[in-house]
Amino acid sequence: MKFTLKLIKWLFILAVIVGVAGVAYLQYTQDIFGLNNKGLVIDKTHLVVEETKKISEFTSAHFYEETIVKDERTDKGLIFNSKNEIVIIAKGNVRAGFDLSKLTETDYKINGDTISFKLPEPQIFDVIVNPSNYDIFVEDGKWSHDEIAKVLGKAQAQIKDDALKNDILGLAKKSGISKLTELYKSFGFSVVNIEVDSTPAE
Amino acid sequence: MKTLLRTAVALSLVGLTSCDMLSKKDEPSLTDNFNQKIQSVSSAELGSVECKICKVIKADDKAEWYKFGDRKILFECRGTVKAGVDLGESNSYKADINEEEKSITLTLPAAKILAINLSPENTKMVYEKVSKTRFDFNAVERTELLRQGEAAIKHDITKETDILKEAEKNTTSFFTAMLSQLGFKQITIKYKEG
Repeated sequence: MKFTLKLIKWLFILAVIVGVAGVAYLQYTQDIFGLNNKGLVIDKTHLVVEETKKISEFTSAHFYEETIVKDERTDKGLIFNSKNEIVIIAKGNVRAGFDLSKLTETDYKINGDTISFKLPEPQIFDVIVNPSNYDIFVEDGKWSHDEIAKVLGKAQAQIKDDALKNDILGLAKKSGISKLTELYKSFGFSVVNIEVDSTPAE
Repeated sequence: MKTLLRTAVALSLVGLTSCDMLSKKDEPSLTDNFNQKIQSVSSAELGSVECKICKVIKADDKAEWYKFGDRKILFECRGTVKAGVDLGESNSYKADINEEEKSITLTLPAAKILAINLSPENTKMVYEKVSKTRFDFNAVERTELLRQGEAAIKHDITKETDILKEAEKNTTSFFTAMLSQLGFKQITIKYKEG
């Protein structure tokens, strides 16, 4: 009886110690109480404009996509190897349209109230995956900034690829012709003929 | 007595397994068939200025009563910002034409920031110092700092630079050249108030 009571007492103490150790381990590895990043704020610094360039980009289509990218790495340990994993949910914005700076005076043919001109082929201007557009969903192990950048680069490439597969250049062409026709009609032309230089091919 | 014994054993088991159970995250069912959210949208944005920008993003996570030692991190973030006018919305622009005088007054929407592109490959972590009593910055924390940097860039680009003025100047020059090619002699470009 005495032995059983002692056993229960020790088992209880052991359970409490293991429980506390478990919570401490979780705080150490996963910051469950959010103490480590509490109040993590950047300092004020100046924004430097390194170069300013005149452009004439007519963006006529946007492609938005949310995708998942992941990477795995096995680190060798003294006794066990550890498998590390990173999973990122990234949202991207692809902007496509026409570079109107390629249009020259001779490209316009005006006959009364009819205007005809040829646009250069549509192109992708930007594939945007900014820090506010992605979430670190799983971070097992230590992942350096460069490793994360590489995974995000994969997300960018995938989003661009999907934009092309979903015919963003076709939409840019169709939408661009429609919007520019509307614009030139507002300048007094009743007939607007717009051609595109060649079949879009990125 | 038996109940007490069972309770003690159960508590021990909970204690022993709590570490493992809690540390396991909910495994996401990430498959290749992930339902990607895709949307294609038509637009009509005339970008007239592109700025290459650079911002230092730095944070000093100092020691507090509940943490010993400090952590410092420094990023150099480069990117591009494009500004111009959005002609996509209905009634966003208006052209008043006088055929006899060959004059045109084009009223455009106020210039705005059209795109901020902070490509991950152009954001470099240039310095990190962590006390032995602290943990390294993890990816979630670094992302949070970069997000704050992005927000600061969005704020500073319109407050500290003349990018919108430059965008309107370049848009005026673009439309003036275009409309003069179309035969207009007197060209006036106006902007709605932002």
